[in-house]
Amino acid sequence: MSMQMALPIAMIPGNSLIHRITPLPKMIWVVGYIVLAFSTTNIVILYSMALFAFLIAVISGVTRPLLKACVILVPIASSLLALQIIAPAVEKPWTSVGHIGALALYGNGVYYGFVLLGRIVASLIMALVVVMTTHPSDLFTTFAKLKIPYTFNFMLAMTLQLIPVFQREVGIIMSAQKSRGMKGRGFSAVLPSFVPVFVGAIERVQQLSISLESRGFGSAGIKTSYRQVKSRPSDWVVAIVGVVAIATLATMSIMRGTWNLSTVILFPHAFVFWLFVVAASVFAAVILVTVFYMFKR
Amino acid sequence: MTSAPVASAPRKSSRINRNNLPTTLIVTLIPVCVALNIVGGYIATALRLPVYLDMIGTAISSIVLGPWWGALVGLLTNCGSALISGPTALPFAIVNVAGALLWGYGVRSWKMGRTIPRFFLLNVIVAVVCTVIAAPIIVFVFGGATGNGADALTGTFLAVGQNLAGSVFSSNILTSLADKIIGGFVALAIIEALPRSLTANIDIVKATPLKGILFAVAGIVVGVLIVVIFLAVTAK
Repeated sequence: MSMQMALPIAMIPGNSLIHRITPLPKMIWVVGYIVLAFSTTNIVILYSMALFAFLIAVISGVTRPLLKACVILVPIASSLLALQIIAPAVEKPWTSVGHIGALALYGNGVYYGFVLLGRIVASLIMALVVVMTTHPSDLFTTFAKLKIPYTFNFMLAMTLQLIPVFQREVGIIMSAQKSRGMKGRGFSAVLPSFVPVFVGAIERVQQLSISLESRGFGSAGIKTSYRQVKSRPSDWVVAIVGVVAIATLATMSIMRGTWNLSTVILFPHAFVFWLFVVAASVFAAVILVTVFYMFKR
Repeated sequence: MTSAPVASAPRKSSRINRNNLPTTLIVTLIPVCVALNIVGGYIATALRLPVYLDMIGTAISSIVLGPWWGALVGLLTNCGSALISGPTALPFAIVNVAGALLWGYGVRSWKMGRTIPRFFLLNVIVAVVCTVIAAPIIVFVFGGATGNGADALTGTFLAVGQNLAGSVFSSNILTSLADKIIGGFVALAIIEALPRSLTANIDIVKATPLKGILFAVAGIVVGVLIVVIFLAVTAK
């Protein structure tokens, strides 16, 4: 992974149905997804949510960048499943399904492991689809309509603008270090590069601060936005469908005590064994790559 | 008898806060700190460093501007990360806020930035408190997994018989110690390079070369690792 690789924050331009929806209904869906994901332990619901979010990504035409961004799930998914098989986060007694050397493997944690993973996957895919199909300015205009203080909006918007700048500058400084025969990886290369980047940024924001002051930032009065976001009837339909569907599923889950299916869905011992082998191997590979990069000059 | 009119103290302008910095400067400084946190975290992941580096901006803002501005930076960091990489970072906002309050009050009120040993101790306290807050989140929200190298340690502690919560705490304290001590001293180096107008009111020691700090961190981490392994084995 190179330093020049951009963070997956950019909106992917497009004119799909999802791109045309205003930010508020999309935000309702994201918040609803998080609420539903944490109010149920039903893996059918959780993975249906993930599948639905993925279908929305396909409709939006953001499948490739989404899959690229979802690579961050590989280490956490592998370690989560491996850890839940050797130490389930459920009450004892646990049922052993086999041993690898002195290490006992338990089937009880697999269901819970898939629940935790399903929560992360479903919420992450929906959030990323929304970020990739929403113009940041539209998002901040919507925040302003929701009475979120404009200084908070300004700080968040400015942060998103500064991230690629910082990232590029750290890359330039580290390349300069490498070209002078200095170390280009590890702590001794990264840590000193933060100082010039930050101090340079401070000098720039002092000018920006004066500019803001001269334009009356912080003065009383109604704040207006250059971009206008107007909701159409279809946006309201999307929002209402989202609220109704998510509230119904969340209520049903809560009424059934999180709707746990661990006694209905049973995983064969061989599946648990091989799942552990695959998950632990993937995670070990991630660790080995980490160690390799740490000690590579 | 009438008393002579007494001139009232000049009213402090609402645009100038207790740091004697204009609000617009603070409003523009905060995003710089948040962006530094997010980029630091991303670089640590991209270069596969065994730490997070996502609280350096928090440390700078809480020391230079004050603990509650630092807390805002912590909150915005995790909100911004949620906009970038999904909502998994949101629960950890409380860890970032706690770190900000400790760094801010530690240096500004408890004078723990006056000498290098005091500042080192402050970073150790921040690390321990952050772990105490983060470990339950990792256990209950992520089933003990974080997706970084610390999970291998968690697995090792589980294999020697420690429970999940204990294993997560043990592995997290090691990464947290390294992360917060390094982060704190990088923040110190940055604060020293800042314009005098920003740092005039802060009673803080001059930065020390990072190489020495890295050796100290390695020593502490190895020491804690030995203690944790000993406790895990004897608890069995």
